[in-house]
Amino acid sequence: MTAVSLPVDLAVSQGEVTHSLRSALADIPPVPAGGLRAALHVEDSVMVPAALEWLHSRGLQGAFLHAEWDLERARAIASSAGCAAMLEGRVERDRFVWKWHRLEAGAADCWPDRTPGLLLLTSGSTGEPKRVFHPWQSLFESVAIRPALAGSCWMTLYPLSRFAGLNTLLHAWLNEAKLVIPSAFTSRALGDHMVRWQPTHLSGTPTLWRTILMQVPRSDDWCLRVRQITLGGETVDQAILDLLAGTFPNARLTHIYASTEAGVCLSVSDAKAGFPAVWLDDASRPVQLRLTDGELFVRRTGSRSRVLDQTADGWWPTRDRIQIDGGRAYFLGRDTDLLNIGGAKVAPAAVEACICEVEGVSAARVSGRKSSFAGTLVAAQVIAAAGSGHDELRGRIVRHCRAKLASYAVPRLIEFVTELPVSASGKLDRQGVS
Amino acid sequence: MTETLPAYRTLVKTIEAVLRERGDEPGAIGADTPMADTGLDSLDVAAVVVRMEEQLGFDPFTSGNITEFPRTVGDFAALYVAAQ
Repeated sequence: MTAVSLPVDLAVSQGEVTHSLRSALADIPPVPAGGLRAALHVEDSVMVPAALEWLHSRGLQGAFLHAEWDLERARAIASSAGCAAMLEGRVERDRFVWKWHRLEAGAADCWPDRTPGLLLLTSGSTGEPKRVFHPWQSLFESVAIRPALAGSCWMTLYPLSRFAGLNTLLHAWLNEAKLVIPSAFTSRALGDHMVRWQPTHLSGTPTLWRTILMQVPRSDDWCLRVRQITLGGETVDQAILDLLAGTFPNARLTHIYASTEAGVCLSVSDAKAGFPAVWLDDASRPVQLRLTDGELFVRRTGSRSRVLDQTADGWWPTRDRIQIDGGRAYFLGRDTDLLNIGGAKVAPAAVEACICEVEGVSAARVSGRKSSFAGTLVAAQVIAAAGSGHDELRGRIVRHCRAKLASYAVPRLIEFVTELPVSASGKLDRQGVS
Repeated sequence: MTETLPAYRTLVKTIEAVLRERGDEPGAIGADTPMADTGLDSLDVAAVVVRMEEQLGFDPFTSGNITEFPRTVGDFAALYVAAQ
């Protein structure tokens, strides 16, 4: 696999990164017989492939730490996950710098045996992150290998230190494709990379797409050459699928539902939001799906990795809520995302999807706003497409939502903004505004 | 007269804006018009309070000194005048 990265006019081949890692590792003592567990703390996504390749080629087990953790937190989490060493990588003054840290390995029960693979960690925004071990083999299993993909050019809109980014990397890696890894994941840098490198296969969250599409010149020749767009990480609505289909008319649109805990659970390529309801309770699927009280549960045939919170018969609660409508199952988001509006439950994702159906809206974020007068109000922040008058657009949003949503779910406050808060993994940050 | 006060005019304009956004033509609104007859539901009224705060810089409902719920548009405006 080759990789290219920022600055936009400077291509970095993966060979350079790998060479820098080999020179750095030349100074450290050899890995003891029987292997060791190492943590990878790689700040810059462009250095991730070299670190993973090293781990994989040595047949080691590794804990894949999040890039945004500081060194102290990374060391503590690596230690408590039973790692005896940590490989740190980051770019310093345009140079790839690798450091090898010896650690006091704590006792950890998150490794089933000595099978080589990666320990992935959930975001752990509250308390300790959850740890889930994925053998390489099960990570590779979910990657479709197609001869036609060799030599194609992929681009990740996600940082590589999270599951969605890792999955994109594995697809490019196993298919011997080129991968564009931006050195920054701001909408400006992503848009610049896209136009500069003209990838044919792109992978990102709906939120990133909404903010980037404004920068993509429509009906550019490159848009016609894009063959595959993969969405994941958050709820995919019809509006973003239609927008992408309009911009990239020859691309296949796939949305993926996956999690750090359960891996890739389903993949939909019919350019429609949600998934066919007949997939639920279909025992022939590699990952089985079932609804209990409106919550999606998944189960893998042939248990692969240890998943926390699993029921005795192998079902794992995703905490994502599903609504069936016209033979289609739609994601409503998590229980913890639900807003309580005068006792009625409102799923912000459903309101965002409705707002995004309005012509002239690029992106929307819905959250609860505490009111001195009536508990919580549905509040929306909206990015308007260029050329839309705000007052006129606000009225069209209100009228569209009133026609399609229950009265309590209609956004009562609409604010126009130029940017929406995005988390480290490229997802819309939906924490309330007040 | 209440109807000449800036807070009152801001309130009526804000109520009318909320009605127009949803596609309703506002009827005649006077100081004696009951809030319930303006066409706004309680969530709309809460939104009007937030939008008034954005324009005037304060929210009389956060003070906790309100003993009687404002019935008319005039009562509502009076809370803003009293808190100014």
